[in-house]
Amino acid sequence: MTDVWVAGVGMTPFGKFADTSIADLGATAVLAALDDAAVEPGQVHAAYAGHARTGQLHGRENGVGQLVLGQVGIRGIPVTGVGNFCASGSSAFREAVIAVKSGLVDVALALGVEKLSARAEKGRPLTSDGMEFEGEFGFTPPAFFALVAKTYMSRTGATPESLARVAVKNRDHAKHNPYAQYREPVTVEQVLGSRMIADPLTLLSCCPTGDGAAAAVLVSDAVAARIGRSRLVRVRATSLLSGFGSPVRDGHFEVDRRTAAAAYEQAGIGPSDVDVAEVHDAFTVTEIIHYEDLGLCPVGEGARFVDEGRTAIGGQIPVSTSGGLMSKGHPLGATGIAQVHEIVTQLRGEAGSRQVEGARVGLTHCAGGFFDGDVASSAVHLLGG
Amino acid sequence: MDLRPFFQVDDGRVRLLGTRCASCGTAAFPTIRVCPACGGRDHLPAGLPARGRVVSSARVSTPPAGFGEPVTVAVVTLDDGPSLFALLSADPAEPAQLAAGTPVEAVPGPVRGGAAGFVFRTAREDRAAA
Repeated sequence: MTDVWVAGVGMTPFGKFADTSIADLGATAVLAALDDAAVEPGQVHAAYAGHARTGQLHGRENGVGQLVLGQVGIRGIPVTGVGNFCASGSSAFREAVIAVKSGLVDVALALGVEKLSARAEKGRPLTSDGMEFEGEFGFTPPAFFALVAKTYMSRTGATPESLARVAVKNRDHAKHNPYAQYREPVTVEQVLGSRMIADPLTLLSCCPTGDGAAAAVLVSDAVAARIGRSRLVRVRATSLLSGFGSPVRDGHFEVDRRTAAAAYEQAGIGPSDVDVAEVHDAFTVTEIIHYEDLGLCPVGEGARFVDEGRTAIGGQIPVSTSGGLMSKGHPLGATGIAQVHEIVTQLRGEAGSRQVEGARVGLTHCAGGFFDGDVASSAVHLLGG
Repeated sequence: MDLRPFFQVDDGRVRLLGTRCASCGTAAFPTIRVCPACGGRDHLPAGLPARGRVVSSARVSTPPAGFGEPVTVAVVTLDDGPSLFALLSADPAEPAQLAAGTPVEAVPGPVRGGAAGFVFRTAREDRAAA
């Protein structure tokens, strides 16, 4: 069975782009990825498009892949839309990996795009798909993660200051990332002093929304040999599970632990082999819990891990070197592939001032949506090495 | 959304309309088809008493559209087993937040947009003993 290689990545800056269409955003990312891979549009055999809110916001629940690819002359191939909440992009990437791994195609394209600035309810948290019943009782994503935070903090003694250090660290990383929406540094005092959203999560403890697109070109061994492997990054594992646990009760995400364990088993490596990670830092507290669930630090020590700077660039295992969702913003469908973009950039040694020296293996983690008291989806990918 | 399919009120007491396994008694809310505990296919309609304990609660300063004031929300595990996302009573006599483990019960009360639904409050002793 062939290995699967990331031959190219591309993305738009993330931000608020009222005058740019989802077709334009997507096409910019796709062309950048194709050029990066030195692959022509006509060589793409299959494409998967991640998007989560284009139906509600742009009257296009289906067909975003066709819309974007029509801009760049890619027609007459299998194109599939992939909706999986915040993990839509990660799931599109996974489908492209599986298509190449299966031997059905030699070149597959994963793209993700979202334009959330079109939404009307500015100043309020983004609602979550499928949570109409819970919404009657005041459910919002920050409210849910505030409940998780309360349990986690009471179990571990983690303080609001430790949580805030995630936002400070990720902003510090973002100053070196031209694709990030927010690049000004913030302090612990600013994070804790910003408007309260859902106690203990303040405004700067929550990731912003945004517009943007990202794309990746996946190729088989045969195509990799033709292109030359010097800049190619091998996909070591793709893991995706639906939720089954109770994070508000547990103070952690059991689904992430199992998704990560499956990824490490596929790759034949362990968490200590990971040199750099992009995790789903939708909220400060979740990044800390993800350190533990992904095995990057011992259970219960996530807050100490960020306090001691071990997840900062230059630390033991830098996390969210792109600035994370905290600084880039979270255009749902694009987020997971933007994480891949950052890890590929790091593993190629092309990350400039935010480069993690000697990075060989990278991890991406994205969770999405809610179902029956848990997140709906958890996706983990291992790249490189 | 219309909450009527999800609960009913009997004599001032809220019952949540879930299901219960005919084989092993495991309860579910909302309704399910196959028992997660024993695999039984007979999960029959059951009115579950809306009594339980707080797992975690939090004050939400920025609630979704349809709420004028900040609200307090919680996850509550019912005495029958299932857990649900709950709105806590805005009654000024109620504590602003409830500690994990606090016994609670649902009473009829307004939800989003003032619509008829149910909210949880600290359990009254006579009912906690019932």
